Amino acid sequence: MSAPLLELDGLTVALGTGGVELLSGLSLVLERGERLGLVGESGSGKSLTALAIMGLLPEQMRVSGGLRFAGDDLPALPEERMRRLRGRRIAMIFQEPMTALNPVMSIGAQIAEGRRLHLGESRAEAEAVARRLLDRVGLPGPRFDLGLYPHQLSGGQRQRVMIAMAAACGPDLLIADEPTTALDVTVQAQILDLLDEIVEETGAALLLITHDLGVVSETADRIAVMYAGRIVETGATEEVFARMAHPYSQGLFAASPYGLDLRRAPGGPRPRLKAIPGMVPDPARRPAHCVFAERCGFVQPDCLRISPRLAPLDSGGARWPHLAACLHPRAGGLAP
Amino acid sequence: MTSYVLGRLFALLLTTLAASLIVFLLMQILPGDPAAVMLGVNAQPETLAALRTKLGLDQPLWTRYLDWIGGFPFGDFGVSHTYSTPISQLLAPRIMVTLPLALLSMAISVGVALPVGVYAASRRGKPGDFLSMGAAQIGVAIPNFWLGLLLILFFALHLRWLPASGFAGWEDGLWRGLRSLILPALALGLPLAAILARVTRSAVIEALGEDFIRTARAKGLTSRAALWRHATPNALIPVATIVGMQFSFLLAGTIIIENVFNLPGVGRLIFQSIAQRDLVTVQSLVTLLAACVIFVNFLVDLAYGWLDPRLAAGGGR
Repeated sequence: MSAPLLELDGLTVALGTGGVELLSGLSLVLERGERLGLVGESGSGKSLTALAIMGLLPEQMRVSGGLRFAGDDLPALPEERMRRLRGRRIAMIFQEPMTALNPVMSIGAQIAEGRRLHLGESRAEAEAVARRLLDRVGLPGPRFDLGLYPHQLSGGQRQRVMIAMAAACGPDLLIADEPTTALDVTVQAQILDLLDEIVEETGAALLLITHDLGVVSETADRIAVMYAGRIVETGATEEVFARMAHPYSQGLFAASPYGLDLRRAPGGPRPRLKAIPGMVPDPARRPAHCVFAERCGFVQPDCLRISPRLAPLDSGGARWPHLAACLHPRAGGLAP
Repeated sequence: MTSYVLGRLFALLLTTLAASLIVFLLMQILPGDPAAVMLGVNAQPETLAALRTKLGLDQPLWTRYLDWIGGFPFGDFGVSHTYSTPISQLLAPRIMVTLPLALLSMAISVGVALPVGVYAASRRGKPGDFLSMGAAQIGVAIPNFWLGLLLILFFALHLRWLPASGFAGWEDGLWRGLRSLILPALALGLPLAAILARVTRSAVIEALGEDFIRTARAKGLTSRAALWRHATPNALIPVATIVGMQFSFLLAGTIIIENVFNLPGVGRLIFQSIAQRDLVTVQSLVTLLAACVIFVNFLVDLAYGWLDPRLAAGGGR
């Protein structure tokens, strides 16, 4: 058995050397063909994790801890080798299809660019592949010509172009950062299905970053809930949804429409989503104890002294153990 | 696209007519009777009246305007009082000096400004940025005629590489003519390049902050390739706008620079005509320059569609 495709082993990202920690000790393993959903609210460090893997963090950020791709220690790779991984073996789909495509370059040229760069194909060869990719992502010719520009497409169509771009070189790892957030609900499902099919066909691993639990439950085999720069709960998606142990996961679930029966009982009050009180703590002022303690409805005295580590909840033996970083994990079930 | 261009051409014609009317009226406001100026203070009233009739000055204003502008489509810009020669004949040899000078200055401006601006943007906040933008700041502050004098002192008098003034003509080959235009073109083009470099820098910095640059990097492009292939093309629209605007500064600049370098160009002709109160010549030349500026800005408008498909006529849906 060779090294895992992607291995985060205590990955930490800080502002400057020894500065404020934005990501603290992230650990996870992703194999080819697996789909992992990374969930959390804004500011929890999901997108930062993706940029750290891509090696595209802003210059002033420092990476420490293990970050390995197919056995290669990514932070130690020279920029030129890292560059050859980007787009070739690790590809990324961004959130904003409106701004993530170059407005003055035709979509054909943008899709073909990666193949010309990494595989040394001629313009004609790369454009032939781009044509097939566009057909594959549901933008058939001649209606969707390679010479179209992004402004001539709708948001969903642009996101299809993004997916074609990311899939162009047959990557081993596909990172999708909120791929459906900016889209209409009806389009979201189509894009997720497409993403799912592409991952299925290419056998790539998928790291799906989202704040939307519904998206994760539909797409990911496994889920990692992030809060304040760390993973607070992880496990097989079904298992985590069945027995949410961390109060934050429960809160996140209760705060989404999926966690609640929204039908209004005759004559009864309108059901309301439960907001999690407070805000994600400022990275510079994260407490030394449990980072969620200040917002937790079940806080105990020891929560304000100790920072809990990820610990297994079940007896083990499962392919993906159910772990939670909580001193007092909730015994199954959803938030009240 | 064709109807768009035709529509723009029509608008361009109207703008030019408006400009000609303004120029014409301004000339009428000027104090002093051209005929009196030509004949001097001791002229006989009869001679003066005869000259006024000959020049058409006794006609009503609108007849004179229509007579004057009516000749333009046929290349008849009137007859110069001082030279007693059709203005078109005065113009022809001088355009062969001023047009190459303007084109060369523009080429210098764009050719210097684009690389410097993109370089400064890519080195934002670093010594390379400060150095190039410091140089640009100096370039903005230097008046072109003074820069012209410095260039003459150094390259013509000290190094003796290029002629100090005058124009050798195109008869003895391209290089002979071009040689006499290099220093004036530098004097005209470098201060414009300084402004353009600053515009380019800020436009490229803005483009570098866009999401599609991150997409390009995630695709595996080097930061340099992302800069040139993705950021720079997006930055060219504001740059093109400034280039169009600079063209009018450039034409105004030729009036000064052709005098500094003693070049027989259109600018110098305008200057001399003003000095000699040759009002018809001034009026016609200024109108032609205005038409030139309007036309160049029309070309810039057409370039927008090429630089940015979102602005191309009929390109959107």
